[in-house]
Amino acid sequence: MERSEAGRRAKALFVLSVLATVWALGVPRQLEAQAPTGGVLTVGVPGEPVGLDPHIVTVFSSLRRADLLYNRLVRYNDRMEIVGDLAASWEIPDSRTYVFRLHRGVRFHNGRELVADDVKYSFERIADPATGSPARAWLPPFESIRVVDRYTVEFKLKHQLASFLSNLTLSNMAIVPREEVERHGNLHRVAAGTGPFILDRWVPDDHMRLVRNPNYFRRGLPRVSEIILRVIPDEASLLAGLRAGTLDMAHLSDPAVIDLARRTPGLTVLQTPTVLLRTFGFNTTRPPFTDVRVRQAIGWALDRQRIVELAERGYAAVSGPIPVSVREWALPPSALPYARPDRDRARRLLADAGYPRGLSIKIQTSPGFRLLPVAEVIKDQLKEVGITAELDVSEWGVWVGRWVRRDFDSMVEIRSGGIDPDGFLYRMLHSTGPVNNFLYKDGDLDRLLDRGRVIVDYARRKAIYDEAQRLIMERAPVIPLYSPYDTWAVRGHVRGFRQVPTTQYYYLEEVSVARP
Amino acid sequence: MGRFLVRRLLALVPVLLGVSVLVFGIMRLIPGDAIEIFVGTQVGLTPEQRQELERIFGMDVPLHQQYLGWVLRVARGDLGTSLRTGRRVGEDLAARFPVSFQLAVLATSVSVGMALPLGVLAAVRRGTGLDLLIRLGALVGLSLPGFWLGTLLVLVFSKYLPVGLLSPYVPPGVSLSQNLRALVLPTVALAAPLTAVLMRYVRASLLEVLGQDYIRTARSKGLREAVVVGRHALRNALIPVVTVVGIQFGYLLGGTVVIEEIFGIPGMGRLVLYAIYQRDYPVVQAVVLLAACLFVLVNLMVDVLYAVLDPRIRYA
Repeated sequence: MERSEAGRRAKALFVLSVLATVWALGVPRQLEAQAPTGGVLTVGVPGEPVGLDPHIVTVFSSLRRADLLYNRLVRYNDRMEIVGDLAASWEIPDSRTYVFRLHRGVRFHNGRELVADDVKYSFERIADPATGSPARAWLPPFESIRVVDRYTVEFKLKHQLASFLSNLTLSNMAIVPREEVERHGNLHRVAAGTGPFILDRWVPDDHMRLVRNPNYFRRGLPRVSEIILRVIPDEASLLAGLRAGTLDMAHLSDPAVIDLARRTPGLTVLQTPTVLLRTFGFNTTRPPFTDVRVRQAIGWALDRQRIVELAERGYAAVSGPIPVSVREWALPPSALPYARPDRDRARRLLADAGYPRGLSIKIQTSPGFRLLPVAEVIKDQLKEVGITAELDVSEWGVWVGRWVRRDFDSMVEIRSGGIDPDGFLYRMLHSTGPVNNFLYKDGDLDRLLDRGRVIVDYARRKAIYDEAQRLIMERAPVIPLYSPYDTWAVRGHVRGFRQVPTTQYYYLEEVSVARP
Repeated sequence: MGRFLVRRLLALVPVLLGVSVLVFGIMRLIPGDAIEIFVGTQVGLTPEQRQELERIFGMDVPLHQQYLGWVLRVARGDLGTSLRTGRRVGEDLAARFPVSFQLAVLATSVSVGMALPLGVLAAVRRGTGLDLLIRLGALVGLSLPGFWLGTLLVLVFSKYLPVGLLSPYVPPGVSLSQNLRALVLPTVALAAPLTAVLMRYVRASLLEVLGQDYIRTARSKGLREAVVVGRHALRNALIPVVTVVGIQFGYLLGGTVVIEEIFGIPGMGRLVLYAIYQRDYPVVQAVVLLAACLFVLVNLMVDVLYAVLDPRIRYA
């Protein structure tokens, strides 16, 4: 099912429901007649979960466990289309009303059937400030959540939020059973979802054993009988585990280790751009960055492909303001300014701005999260147009403090912020955006972002965000650099794994192992 | 001896109080704010949310109250809760300490096992080519910084000699052989400089003793050289060596930040390193206190050992 097409029609006609059922229920075709079902899959992961309550956790490692233990109403597939998860179909009769029809016969791990009331309860729990859910920020205020019948639930929003459907795919938006929350207070140490796997054993700082959910609503899945998630914080050790055969697949991020993995016979390295964005941004209230020409000159001076090659060993994709992986919305970098470096143009812009003989700038940076290597390459590239960049390196905590106080000239960052362009761009660049640390105020952009927030129709919305992306690049409060890759190293007998740019783990349900 | 031990153990209290003030103060004096780091740069924090976090982290009261509250809780055996992970700090320490302890025991045993014979050999064969060779080796060992040696070992054993020594750490209870295999290289990296230092102490100390009158007496009684050196000289030469071993062992027990980080060993060093990055005050404070405690206790053991080695030393 092409969600984008169907979704567009649905919203335009106010009637059509998306037939995700077929997709959601059927065993994906490419996996049929592959390796047999059963066996143990041992997965090396870098982080230990802090807790398991899907509504409360914020840490990557905890969210990735929730991907396997719970389901959400909808999810992204590997082509970044929104498809049904627990929802068999949905309708958007008007831009403030969303009606979801649930799969029948879905069972929680405790045996009880999932019904519409569980959906209502779960979203009320997320929306309750007492729960302390980070997901609350991604939900609009509800006028009502109504159980229409046993398998149908209707959300009425107080005001339009075009990113609502996309936000429902976040791992925090899991549907949980009320009785387990009430019995345990929270779900940090229990897993009571509907997901493909059931928590069997959790040895902190060592491993988590998940066993196949025999009643999983996607028939034939999961294919393996057991998953061991082994926590190995050191990346070289993850690779060593793959080589030694103690791991079947591992989630990697260190480019040097990925290089080694690619050269290891018997290992396949899978990569896809994530929904993160590496940026080089300016404090637009501090000279010389108050002058748009200086910012543009930097845009034209940078060779972003080269930055990817030098700072990430090539393991990233050059991107515009919306991460390239969000294909439905992102304009390709080739369709936007700074597609190729143009150093003469950069020099002319600097001369126009009153810096014919170049200028000096400061880049505040820190050794964490690979900010420093990126800043070093930028410094090197800016030299060619006469800009002398001084790297002001501070310890992580100090750097975060400067970010919070907007006490910087320019900064390399890694940005996340939801998948829908509203979530991503509004927060970062609207004049009231909570993470607009560029202090950027632009009435034109504000108007576009305000409209993109409430218009549900895909075609109209797409036009708005196309314009917004061009505007951001032209006025350059921030230069988007690239989306880093999500990387998995997989041994030859592991079949059928699909990556999602959101880096969620739920496709592990389709993986099978065929040991020789 | 009993009174001596009691007195020394009581002296722990002021030491720990001093350490607690220092670590509490330093952690709050260094730039960087625990809440800002906790929240990170992808969220705009409202003042209300900040207040809520301050309340949760117990930072909504004046510093001296925070300190007193912490000390009183520690005195009752409650080390608090990690700001970062929400886990009990005591549980984290209980999980991490045995790892650092094992590594410390291994590194110390290896270095003592190497340094004693080499040091004795160098002293007995003073001025020969062998002595020169051993001293040269010691100089090299001393000059290699642990972080450099560790990184070099990783490089060599991953690229040129992939013999499986870089396997991930597993607890000895899971597989002792895998556990020991994973600790070979970190042990070497830690033991190399220790061995060098110790060996020089053994050599110097033994040379001094060998010049004493009672050694000449022992020789003139016609004792074999092995007995002279082994029983009469070495025992007396060991006092300064034991001091050095004690200090080094105490230091290792607190966790070895760099080596644990390089080899991915989940000991106290890594725990405290990440806690410092995150300004996870309760964890840093607990690790430093524990390390100080261990250091004092190990030195007490060393003092007791003096009396065992040298009957002339008596504590009353």
